[in-house]
Amino acid sequence: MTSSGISPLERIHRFIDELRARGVPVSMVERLDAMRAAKIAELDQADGLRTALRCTLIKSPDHLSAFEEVYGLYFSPASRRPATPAGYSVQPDAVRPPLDLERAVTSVLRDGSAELARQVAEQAVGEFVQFEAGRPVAGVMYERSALAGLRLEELAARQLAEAAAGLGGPGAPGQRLRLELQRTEVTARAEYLRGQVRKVIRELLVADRGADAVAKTLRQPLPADRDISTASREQMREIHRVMIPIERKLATTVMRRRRHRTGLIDVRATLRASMATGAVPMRIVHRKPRPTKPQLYVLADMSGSVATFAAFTVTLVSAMSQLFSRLRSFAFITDAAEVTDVFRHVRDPEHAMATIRDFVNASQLGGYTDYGRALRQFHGAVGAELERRSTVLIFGDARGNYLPAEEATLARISRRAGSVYWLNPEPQAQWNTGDSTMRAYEGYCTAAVTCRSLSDLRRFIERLD
Amino acid sequence: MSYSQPGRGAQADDVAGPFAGTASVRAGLAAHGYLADDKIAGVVSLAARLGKPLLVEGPAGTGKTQLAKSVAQLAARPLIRLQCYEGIDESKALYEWDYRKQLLWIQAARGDETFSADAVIEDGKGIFDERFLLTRPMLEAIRSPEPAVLLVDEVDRVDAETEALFLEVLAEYQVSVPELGRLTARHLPLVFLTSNGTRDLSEALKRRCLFLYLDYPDPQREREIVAQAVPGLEQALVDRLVALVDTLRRLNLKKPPSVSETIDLARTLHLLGATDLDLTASSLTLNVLLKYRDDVQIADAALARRPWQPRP
Ligand SMILES: Nc1ncnc2c1ncn2[C@@H]1O[C@H](COP(=O)(O)OP(=O)(O)OP(=O)(O)O)[C@@H](O)[C@H]1O
Ligand SMILES: [Mg+2]
Repeated sequence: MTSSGISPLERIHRFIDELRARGVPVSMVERLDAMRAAKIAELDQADGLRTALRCTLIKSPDHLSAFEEVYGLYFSPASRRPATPAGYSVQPDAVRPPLDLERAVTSVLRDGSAELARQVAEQAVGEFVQFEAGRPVAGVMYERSALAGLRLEELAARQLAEAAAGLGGPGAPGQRLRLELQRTEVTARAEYLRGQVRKVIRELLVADRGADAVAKTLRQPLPADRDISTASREQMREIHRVMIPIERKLATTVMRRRRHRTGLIDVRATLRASMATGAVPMRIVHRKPRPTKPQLYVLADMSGSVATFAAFTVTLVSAMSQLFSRLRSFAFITDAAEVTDVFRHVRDPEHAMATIRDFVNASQLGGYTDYGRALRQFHGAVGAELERRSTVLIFGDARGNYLPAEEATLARISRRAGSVYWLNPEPQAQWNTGDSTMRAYEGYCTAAVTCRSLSDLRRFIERLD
Repeated sequence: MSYSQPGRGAQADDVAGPFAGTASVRAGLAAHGYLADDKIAGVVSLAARLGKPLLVEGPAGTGKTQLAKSVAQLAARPLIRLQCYEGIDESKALYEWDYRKQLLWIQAARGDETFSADAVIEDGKGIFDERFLLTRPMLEAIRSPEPAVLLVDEVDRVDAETEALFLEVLAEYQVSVPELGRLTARHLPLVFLTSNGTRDLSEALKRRCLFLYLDYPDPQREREIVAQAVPGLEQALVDRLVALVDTLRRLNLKKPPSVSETIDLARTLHLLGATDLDLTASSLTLNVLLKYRDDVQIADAALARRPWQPRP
């Protein structure tokens, strides 16, 4: 069923339903506001309706990318055109002669003309994509063929090589800086062109199957709610984009709460002080700020199946080191090694992934994940300094290749530390299946929880102290 | 003085004029030195025409505060500003009873034979009068004899409980004073709230507002902002400067350079009579643009990186 024949109002309702299906919170009040705004929107403006819907429905930057994607499906011009059999292929304008694509791409990369980019995208999709009507696809393969046909990567690289030569070659004054600036620009323009190609493909999909059906195919949870372990490279980037504000919010929340806590009134001291004023409490005495910063010890499984998860968790925790009086992190596959310094300046998970790969190559390529051994080594390294204020976090799926779990070591750690938390990226139903030994460890943890997404991780850290 | 009836007594004043549409807002703001894009201007126009508060969120130094100030200028209305901070409460945001004046009044009234201390205690007769009310920014904006622009700046700094006190103003344009009843707006103020996003604001607050995410301006607009702020600077240098800032914002910095920092650097370069921006100047450049040592190191490393190589 296509959604081309529906009324504008109905279209907005379906659009909002799709936002909600993706996890964007839209209340009834906001739905009504959107309708009111749509009524007075400046429809003669290029983005009049988009602006009206965005400012009434989206109340957090984390939801903007979902809004843009869904808006593109429901309100791009092509999606309002009824699907005709001929609509399956993009027909080059009768009056417009076909472009020389190589020259056109080069020109887009040089001066970033939006109009030309759109033309290039349309022609590339027409020439390089074998569109199959009716297939419930997301268009990823189409996008790949169109981009390959355009030779976008190659042409961008050539553009930069030429720019470099034009700047007087290596060593010329300011050459590096200018080259870097050029690189940013060319990359951004290539990205824009890529976006246009995707847009044209989405318009075709919508014309073919209708916005509702395509939206359903493309639907995925918001970045913060997405499963980290299975994220693709592109998804990792999206998740990372929402991670930075989350880090900041987490730090604010935790620090404010701690400050609050130290500000409590000390009743005894207040009464004692009031003796001087005839038992009238003129002077309120507050509790001395306690040194409440906890110490954090992290042990993370970095083996293949959970490497992405480890990259995010360790990056996030390292970014928050100011919240802890002491932070030491350890990573393991077969052997545990301290990585506190390695991760100190790592801010993005992709970088962290590379760091992890180096770490793996250097020490234990091809080894089996060995939880028992790692726990023993971790205990050997930090056991003596663990105390009541220490919190131990273990990140991993507890899949130990049927090697001994050695839970007695965890018991020893647990006796010394104030608390031990196990964060497992697998859903609880998968614990203890196959080689997972969560059961053996669970009893020695203050809590063992499933932690799959940034939202999970955030909730956990917020409750930590 | 009598108090208005509950509900929305006031009308939206003269919002149509300068706020009629994107183009007029954009032109009007530009006339007051604020360079907006269509997105910003469009949302401001909608907020004014729908009579809803506008919550503006974004990184530091992207022009959130300035937007509210410029809108006030554009509308030729007084700007009433509530600067939020941690620990701010009702008595600083909404109103406070002026107990000194109340005490003075009681002392003065004692001489009067009709004065009854019991009556005062019983129903606050005489002492709970608008004369003794110290209006703070939110109430001031509501009671203003002429239409005003209310700016609640950095609302993410207040705690959730205090935030709840703002809701009545945002939704009903009124303030309830238990001793007096509801004080409603004479004129609907235009309300702007800004946030740096250091905390999640409550759903209740967000529901009542329209939302504008104010990101760093695109290079074209930033060039215009810089050229306007530092008119003497050579165009080629402005281009390069803005491109550099754009590059830096793509790195993973703790604090990416804001528009204010771009302007600061432009001023510095102008003062120094610089004509080009290159790596020999970059330690100065980066130190003006970046606030953290770590960030300077990261940027230095990135900019001195090996020449471009095609991606695998
Ligand atoms: N669009 C613009 N047109 C003109 N000047 C601008 C614009 N955007 C920002 N500026 C200038 O940038 C500076 C920073 O703006 P402002 O103080 O409003 O930022 P802010 O977003 O409120 O920052 P903070 O979050 O730190 O409070 C000001 O000097 C302002 O004049
Ligand atoms: Mg400000």
